[in-house]
Amino acid sequence: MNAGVALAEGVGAVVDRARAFAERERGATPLFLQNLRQLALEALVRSGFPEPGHEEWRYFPVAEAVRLLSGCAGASGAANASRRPGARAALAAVAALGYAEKRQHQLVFVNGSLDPELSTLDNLPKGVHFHGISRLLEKGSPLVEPRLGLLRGHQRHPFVALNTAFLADGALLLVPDRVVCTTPLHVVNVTDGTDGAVATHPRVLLVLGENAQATVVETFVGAGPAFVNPVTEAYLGPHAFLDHYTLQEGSAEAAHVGTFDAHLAPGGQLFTHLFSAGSLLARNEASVHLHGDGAGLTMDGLYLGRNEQVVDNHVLVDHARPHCGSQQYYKGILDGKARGAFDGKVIVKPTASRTDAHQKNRNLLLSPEATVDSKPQLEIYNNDVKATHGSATGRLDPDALFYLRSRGFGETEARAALTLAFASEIAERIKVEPLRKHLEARVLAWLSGNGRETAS
Amino acid sequence: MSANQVLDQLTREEYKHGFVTDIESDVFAPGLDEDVVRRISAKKGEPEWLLEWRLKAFRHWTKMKEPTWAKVSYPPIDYQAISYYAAPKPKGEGPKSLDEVDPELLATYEKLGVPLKEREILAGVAVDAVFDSVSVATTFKDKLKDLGIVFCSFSEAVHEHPDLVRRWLGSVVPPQDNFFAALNSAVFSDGSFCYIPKGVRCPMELSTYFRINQADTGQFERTLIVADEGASVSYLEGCTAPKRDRNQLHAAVVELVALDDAKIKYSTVQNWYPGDKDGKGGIYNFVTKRGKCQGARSRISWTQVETGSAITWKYPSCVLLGDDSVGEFYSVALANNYQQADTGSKMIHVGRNTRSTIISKGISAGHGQNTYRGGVKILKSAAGARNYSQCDSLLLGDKCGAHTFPYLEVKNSSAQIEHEASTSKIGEDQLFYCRQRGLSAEDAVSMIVNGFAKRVIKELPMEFAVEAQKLLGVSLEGSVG
Repeated sequence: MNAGVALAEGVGAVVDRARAFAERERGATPLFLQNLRQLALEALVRSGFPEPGHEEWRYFPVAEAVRLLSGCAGASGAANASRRPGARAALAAVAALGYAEKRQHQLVFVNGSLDPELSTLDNLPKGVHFHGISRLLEKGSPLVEPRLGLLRGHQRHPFVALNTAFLADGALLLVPDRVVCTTPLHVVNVTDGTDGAVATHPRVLLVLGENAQATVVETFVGAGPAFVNPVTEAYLGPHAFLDHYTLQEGSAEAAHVGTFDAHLAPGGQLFTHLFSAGSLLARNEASVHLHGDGAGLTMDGLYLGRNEQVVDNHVLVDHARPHCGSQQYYKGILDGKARGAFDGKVIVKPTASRTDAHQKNRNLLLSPEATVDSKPQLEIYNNDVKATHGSATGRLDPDALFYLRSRGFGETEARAALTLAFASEIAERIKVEPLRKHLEARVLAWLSGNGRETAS
Repeated sequence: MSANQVLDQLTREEYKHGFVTDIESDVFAPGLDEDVVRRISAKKGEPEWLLEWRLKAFRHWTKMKEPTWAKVSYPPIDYQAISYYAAPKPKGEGPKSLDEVDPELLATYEKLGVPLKEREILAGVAVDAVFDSVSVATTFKDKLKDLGIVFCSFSEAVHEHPDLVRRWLGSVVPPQDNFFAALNSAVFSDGSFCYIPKGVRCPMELSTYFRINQADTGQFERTLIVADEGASVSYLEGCTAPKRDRNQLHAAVVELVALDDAKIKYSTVQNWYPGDKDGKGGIYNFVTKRGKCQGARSRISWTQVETGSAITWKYPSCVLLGDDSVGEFYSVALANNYQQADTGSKMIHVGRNTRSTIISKGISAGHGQNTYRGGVKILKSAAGARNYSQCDSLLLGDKCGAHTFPYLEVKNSSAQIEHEASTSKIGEDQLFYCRQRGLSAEDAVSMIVNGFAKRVIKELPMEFAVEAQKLLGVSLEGSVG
C-alpha cells in the first residue's frame, strides 16, 4: 500500500471514530466544545494528513505514524495507574522525579484520563487553578471556554485538529495576576498500551496573568504500542514568566506527535526545554508567537535517538512586535540507525523592529548508520534586526578521543565523557534540580547502552 | 547628504543597458507545439538524433507542472504567448569573419563594453556573443584551435563535433530534470560549447555575452563545458537586455563536466533588465546550472554576481562524484525595487573526501526580496566529506526582506558540515565611524556594501571584478534604515 492511500484511509478511519466519539459524548458536552470538536473535525477532513513530500513534514514518516494510529483503540474510560502494571512500570522509569509518591503538585493522566489517586493538588498558592478539565468541560466554564483553541491550531495543523476532535480531558493551569508559583507543577501522561494499542490526545491549557510566574513540567511515559498526540496551549500575560519543560520518554513502540503553541503579551518571558529520548517516532513541534513588545523567548532542546528511532523537531518563532528577543539551541545525539531532524524557522514580520533572533543546532552522529537533517531558516521582513543561525553536524572529535585515551580512558569511557559533555551544555541550563539530575542520569544510562562503535 | 538620501539615490539608479538595437530579426510567431520544436531544429539544420532529443524533452515538458516552491511570486506565465525563436536576420550566408558581422550588432556590443574585436587582443578574452537566441561571433577561435580547444556556438558544435555534443549533452542536466530545463531542452536555440582536451590549460578567459533584444521573445540558451583529464578553464558569462514593460523569460541550462584532475571556474555577472522602480517589466531568469565533478580530484567553482532580473530562480550546483573532488559556490545577489531572487547552491557529496564551500551574500533594498535556498547532501558513500556554508544578508531599507532556507542532510557520520548565517542592516556605529573619518555617507555605504561582498568579488577574474563592483555601486548605493 502506498503512503498516499494509507494516509487517506487513515484519515477516513480516524474521522469516523471522531464522529462516533462526538455523538457519544454529545449529552455531556457544552455547546462550545461540541462546536470546537466539529470545527476541528471539518478542518481535518479538509486538510487530511500531510502527504509525503509536504515541506513541513519532509523529515517525519507521517504514513508510518498514521498506520500506528489506525491500529489504536480510542482511550477507554477512567483508568488508574495502580491497576495497570504497564503504567506502574512506566512511572517507575521516572521515579527520580517523585511521581510515584505524592510529594509535589502533580496531575497524572493514565491513557488520557485523570488518575485521582496519584494526583496531588494541596497547598497551591491562593487563586491558582491547577486541575483536570473534564469536570469543567462537562459544565462549561468561564475559565476554559474563552481560551481553549484560541490560537486556532486546530484550523492550521492536522494533528492539533485531531487532538481537538477528541478533546475530553486535560490539565488547566491558571495563575492570577502577580501570583508566583514557587514549586514546579507537574503534568504526567502515562500511556499504557500493553493491553492493546491505545491513542491518547492529552490537552494542556496554561494561562498566566500579568506578572504571574510558574514552572511547568510535562512528562510523557508509557508502555506498549500507542499513539500520543498532546497539545499544549500557553498564554502569557504582560510580564508573565513561564519555565516550561517537556520530557518525552514514551514507549519504544509508540508514536508521539506533540505540539506546543504559545502566545506572549508585552514583556512576557518564556523558557522552553525539550528532552526527547522516547518513542519510536517522535515529532516535537513548538510555535511561539511574540505578539507583545519586549517579549523574550529561550528554547532549548536535547534529542537522543538510537536503533530505528525517528526524532523530528520543528520550531516556529514568530516575531510580530518590536524589541523582542529569541534564542533557540537544539542539540541532537543520534546512534544506531536513528534519524534526527531539526527544522526551525524564525519569521520577523515588518512590524518587528529591533529584533534579536538567534538559532543554533548541533548534531552528533555516533554511528555510521545514523543520519540527520537540519533546516534552520530565517524569514526576515524588517531591516532593523540582528538575526543569526548556525548548524553543525559531525562525529566525536578524533583528537579529543585520542587525548582521553592517552590519559588512560578506555574507548567507551572516553566516548561517553565526550558525549555527556556535548549533552551537558543543554542539561545544565535546567533550573529544576531533580529534573536536571534525572536528565543527566538518563543521558548516562542511554550512553551505557550505546557507544560501542569506534570512531574510525 | 544624509545616509537615507544616499541610499535613495543609489537605489534609484536607472538601468544603463536598456537600449534596443534596431536589427532585422527573423522571429517565430508566439506559441509552442511540436511543430515549433521541429522548425527550430530545421532552422539550425540539426541531425535527426537532436530533433528526437528535443521532441522527447518537449513531450515530457507538456506533462510537467511549473514549480511553485520558490519564494517568489509572479503572475502565471502564458507559454503560448512567447516567441521561441528570434535571430538576427542573416544577410546571405553567415559571417565568415568579424568584418562581415552586422555593424549594428558590433555597435551594440561596443555599447555594452564587450571586447568583441580582435584588435582588443590585449583584453585577452575570447568571447562568444549570443544575441537573442543566436550566437553571432566567436573571437580568438584560431588561437584556441591550435591548442585543440573547441570554443564555438552550440549550433556549430552540433555540426562540427557531433560526437562530443552527443556524448555530453544532457549528461549533467537531463532533459527531464525540471520544468524549465525540459522547456530549454525542447526549444534551445543556441549557446556556447567548450571542450578542453586532456592536460590543456586554457590560456585565456573564455566568455559569453548574452543579450535579449527582441520584444516578447524568450531566450533559451544552452552552455556545455567539458574539461577533459587535467584540463583547466575559466569561463565568464554576462547578460543584458533592453528595457521593456513586459516581462521576458530567460530559461537557460548550463552543464559543466570535469574529468580527473580537471578544473572549471564559471563566473557570471548577471545584469538582465530588472524592471523599473515600480516593478514593471524585467526578465524572469529561471536557470538551471549544474556541474558534475566526475573525475577524482576535479574541481568546479561557481561565482556569480546577480544584480539584474525581475525574478531570479537559480541554484548553481555541484555533484561531487569523484573522490577528493571540490565544489565551490560564491555568490552576491542583489534585490532592489521589486526584484525577487531565490538563489543558492546545491552540493551533493557522493565521492569520498569531497569538499564544498558555499559563500553567499544577499543584499536587499527597496521592496526587494532575497532568498538563499541551499542544499548540502552528504550521501552514505561520501566518507570524510566536508562542507562549510556561510550565508549573510544585508538589509537596506525597511520594506525589503531577506530569507535563508538551508537544507543540510547528512547520511554519513564521518562527514563534517557547518552552516552559519546572519542577517543585519548596516550598523549606525559603522556608518558613524566612517563619517567621522571624513567619508561622505554615500562613500561610506558603498564601502561597507563592497566590503560585505568582497569575499565573493575577489573570486572573480579581474575584468569582471571591476565590472561587478561598479554594478553593485550602480544598483544601489547607501543604506541606513
